[in-house]
Amino acid sequence: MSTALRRIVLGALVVYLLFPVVASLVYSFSTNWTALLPEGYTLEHWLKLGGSERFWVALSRTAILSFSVVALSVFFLVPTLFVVKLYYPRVAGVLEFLTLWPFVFPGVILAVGLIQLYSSPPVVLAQTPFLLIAAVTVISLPYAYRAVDNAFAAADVKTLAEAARSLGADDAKTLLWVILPTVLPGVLSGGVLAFSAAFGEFALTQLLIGTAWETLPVYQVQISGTEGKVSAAITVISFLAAWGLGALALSLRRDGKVSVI
Amino acid sequence: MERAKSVGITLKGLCKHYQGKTAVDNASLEVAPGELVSLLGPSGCGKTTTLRMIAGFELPDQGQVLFGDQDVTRVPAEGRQVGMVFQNYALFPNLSVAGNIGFGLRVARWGADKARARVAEMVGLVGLKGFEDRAVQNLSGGQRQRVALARALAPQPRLLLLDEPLSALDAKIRAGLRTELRRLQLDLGITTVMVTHDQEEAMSMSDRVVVMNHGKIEQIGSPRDLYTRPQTAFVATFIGSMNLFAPERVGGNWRISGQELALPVVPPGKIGVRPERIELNGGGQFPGTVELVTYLGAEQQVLVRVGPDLWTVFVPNQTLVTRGDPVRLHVPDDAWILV
Repeated sequence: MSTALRRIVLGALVVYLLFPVVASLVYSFSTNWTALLPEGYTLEHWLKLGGSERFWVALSRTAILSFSVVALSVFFLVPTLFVVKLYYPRVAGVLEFLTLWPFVFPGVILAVGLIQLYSSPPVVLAQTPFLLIAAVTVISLPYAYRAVDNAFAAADVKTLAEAARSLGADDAKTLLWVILPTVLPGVLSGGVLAFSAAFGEFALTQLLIGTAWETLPVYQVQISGTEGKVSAAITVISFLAAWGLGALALSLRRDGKVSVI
Repeated sequence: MERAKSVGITLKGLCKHYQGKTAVDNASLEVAPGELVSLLGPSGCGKTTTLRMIAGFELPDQGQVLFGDQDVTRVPAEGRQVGMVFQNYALFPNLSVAGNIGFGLRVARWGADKARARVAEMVGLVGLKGFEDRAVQNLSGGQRQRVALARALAPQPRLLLLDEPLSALDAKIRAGLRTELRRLQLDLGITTVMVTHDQEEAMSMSDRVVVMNHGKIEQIGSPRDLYTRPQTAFVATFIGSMNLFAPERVGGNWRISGQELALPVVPPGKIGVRPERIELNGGGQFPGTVELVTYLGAEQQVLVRVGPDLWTVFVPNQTLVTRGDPVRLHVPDDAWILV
């Protein structure tokens, strides 16, 4: 393959992936866009968005949702994988199979089931953010699982834990001082993936709680019919959030040997 | 250099099964304080499981593990004060060389000054001065295993366990580290149990060697004992090489490889002879034909067909033999080993 062809292959992918983002960015700054290039540029839509209280509320809800999902994912995954790898290695297969389920069941099925189950006593959680956070965690978990599991596999956690134990460390010290720092790059990557999945979550949110606890994607869809350019600005913000967090996670990785994903 | 407060180890009738398969079958052993004992055998012989029961990573189904007079069978690994070195180093990737060596001291809450002094002492002991702040990823295999050794010794363990410590290293480095490890062990006087599948390693480093096969201890003895007086056919062939025969009684004589001869002793079962004790000699009892000559540098390994058997003979490298040569093999009377 010639050098030119190689560059074309790579370039085509970059254009394909970046074009919608760049178009959204330009659109959010444009006055009127009917020809190839916009007629003029303005900060109007961004100012409008910044001045909207509804936007800030939606953004903070999405932040609460996303960070809660990340915290729950890490909280469930790291100790679970630690225990599984060390004491119940044969459970790993079951765990892996379980993490595929959210991909198999469409969000609608999950939402309808959850609403029915939690609408009546003993546990009434329907139409609350708690149910939303719990549900979005379930569907975000598979993304985080991959990354964290890879980090565990790459590090030979079992032998590291045995080394720590032979030096007198109990399970808590082993987990906190050895295992967690070792798999941290994977945990960060997994966290970013879970964050992105939760940040952009729309279908489940719309069905479970809708405008009663409006998140950024729901808000965006609500205004997209009338305020297309403001909506484009939200798209740009979503991308920046995901990229920014990804870059932060990358810069926090100290050991380059564990793969990001 | 301070002498470690080493203890002896006693294993009493250890048994371990995995899903119906016997990994270790009634293993008993006494290791004296300060002694280096190797567990030697092919893979799956139970040597690693035995070591892991001493370390506290596996709970025996039956039997006891004693450190000195203390029964530690049910004491978890973190409470046993045992230093362990692993085949794949198992260094903590998030910590520097000094951080790894000081880990056990941090766990045991040594004071900062005392810990720092101890780490410095250990770094010097394994010859890694100047490497304290290096990331462990940037070390060679030999250096990593030195760090692992220093880390294991730093908290002054009661004994040292080595799980195939040299297997991941190059031949040259392995030979160097082997000598160093043994010298260090003798200097510190620390009771040590080493698992290895390499008989040369076991023979060259150990006070005594425990040969294991199929979960059972076949024989315990000094390297010289095992080589010159193997008690089972397995030990005879696993340690060094051995020409082993089942002699048949023919009148007052014995038939070996189709030749009838008088033996100086009455063999209770099998009889063998080490390849280096056989002489190529015109007056030998066993006529044969050279099938293969392998030049090994210091000597040559010659395979000789004698009747139904193929004999292995080590011949000095200045003796010229080639494939197809007719030879006669002579076994001195005192070279026969009864198994």
